[in-house]
Amino acid sequence: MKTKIEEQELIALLRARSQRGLRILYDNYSAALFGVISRIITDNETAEDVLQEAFVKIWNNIDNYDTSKGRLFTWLLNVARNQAIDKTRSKDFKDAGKVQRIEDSVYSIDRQNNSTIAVDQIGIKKFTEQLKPEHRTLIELLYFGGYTQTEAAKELGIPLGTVKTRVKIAIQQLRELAGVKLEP
Amino acid sequence: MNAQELISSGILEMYVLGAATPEEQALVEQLAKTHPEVKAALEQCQGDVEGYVAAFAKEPPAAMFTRIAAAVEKETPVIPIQPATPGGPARPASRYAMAASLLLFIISAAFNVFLLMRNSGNSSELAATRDKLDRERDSTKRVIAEINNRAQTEMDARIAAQRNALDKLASLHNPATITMKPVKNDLPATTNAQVYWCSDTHVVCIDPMNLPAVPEGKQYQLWAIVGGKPVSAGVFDSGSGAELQMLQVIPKAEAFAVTLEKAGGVVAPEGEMYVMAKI
Repeated sequence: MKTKIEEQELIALLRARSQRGLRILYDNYSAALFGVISRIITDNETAEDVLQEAFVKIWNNIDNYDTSKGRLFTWLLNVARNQAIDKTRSKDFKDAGKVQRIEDSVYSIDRQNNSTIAVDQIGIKKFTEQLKPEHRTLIELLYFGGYTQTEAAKELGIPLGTVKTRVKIAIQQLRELAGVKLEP
Repeated sequence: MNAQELISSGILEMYVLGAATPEEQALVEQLAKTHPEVKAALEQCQGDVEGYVAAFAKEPPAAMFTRIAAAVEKETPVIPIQPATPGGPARPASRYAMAASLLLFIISAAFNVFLLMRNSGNSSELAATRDKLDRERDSTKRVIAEINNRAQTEMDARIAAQRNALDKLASLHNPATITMKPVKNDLPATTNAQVYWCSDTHVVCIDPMNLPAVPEGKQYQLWAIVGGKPVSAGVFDSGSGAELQMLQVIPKAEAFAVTLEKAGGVVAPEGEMYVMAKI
């Protein structure tokens, strides 16, 4: 159950280390954070571990969250994303052979989402069907793959300048699609 | 690069996808502070990514919250609801210190005035004495400021502790109250301790009530009996000043018991059992 709460109030609760704050944080954001983590780490058990690590990190670092740099949601997503990407780079993870090549992940998204409980099927459909593949691949590589611009340019075989232009258009497309309504 | 160039460069988009270089990151953060149009463009991009990512939301398994609450609990130190040493005496002590330093200042000032009068004919001595007087006044001012500062810090700490206590009380949703009775032979029949067990968050709190004082180097430990096996719910303070304390998250238990263990607790109970209650 999501609880309606002002962002400022939730931040204050978390900074006071309130259990109610933790509950609201979990109810309102755990699905989104687990979604991000699961895109980066397909192994369910590891993804759950990373979700727990991300919450502990949020709990311990809430005092460092700087409201002037963006909304709470953006910060939470970044913590979860970074935690997951760090995990894929850790030695244990590589040794266990759990690294999924990002290309595999990019192209297996639709299948993957069919087998799990997707909260917002319409949203996914909108983005997977309507976003141009070249844009989607680039966003996937950078955001979920943790690629640097240079690595992405190399992977896609395009110049660095083109990567920057393409990323601008890709975000522009996300913005336009966000306004589009699809029939379920 | 100026604000307009930054907005059209694609760097903001790189930034929100977490792929900006360190130099680009610094540039974005700096220009967002000084140029409202950069801040607005950046927030729009952040919103776009939030919307995209949120579409892939996936509910974690049902047991996940309990797991996270337990992990977070480990990171949060157990603070007794009332500070173990009541804060009362701190302020009178500061007041005495302040009075003493004032008295010192007056004595030293009087002595200097005496010197001043005696040496009034000698201008260089006069200047030296005036300097000395000034220095002493400054150092006394610093002492007083320091004392005030400490009093303020103590006060802040106490307010924070009270707030924490209120939060803890607020988080005690529908607690089950479990009164543990004495099982150790030489304990008076009136000895008890109470466990408050939240039905929704499963957080366990304990009020040591009238458990006897513990010897040096020992601490009470609360155990949840789960499937016939003791699971530690954490150690807690007892004696004067110790009140309701928040321990760990225990999803299920058939009984609770308290044993006396070495300070810091043990993995499996070794000491004598004092009180217990079946649920």
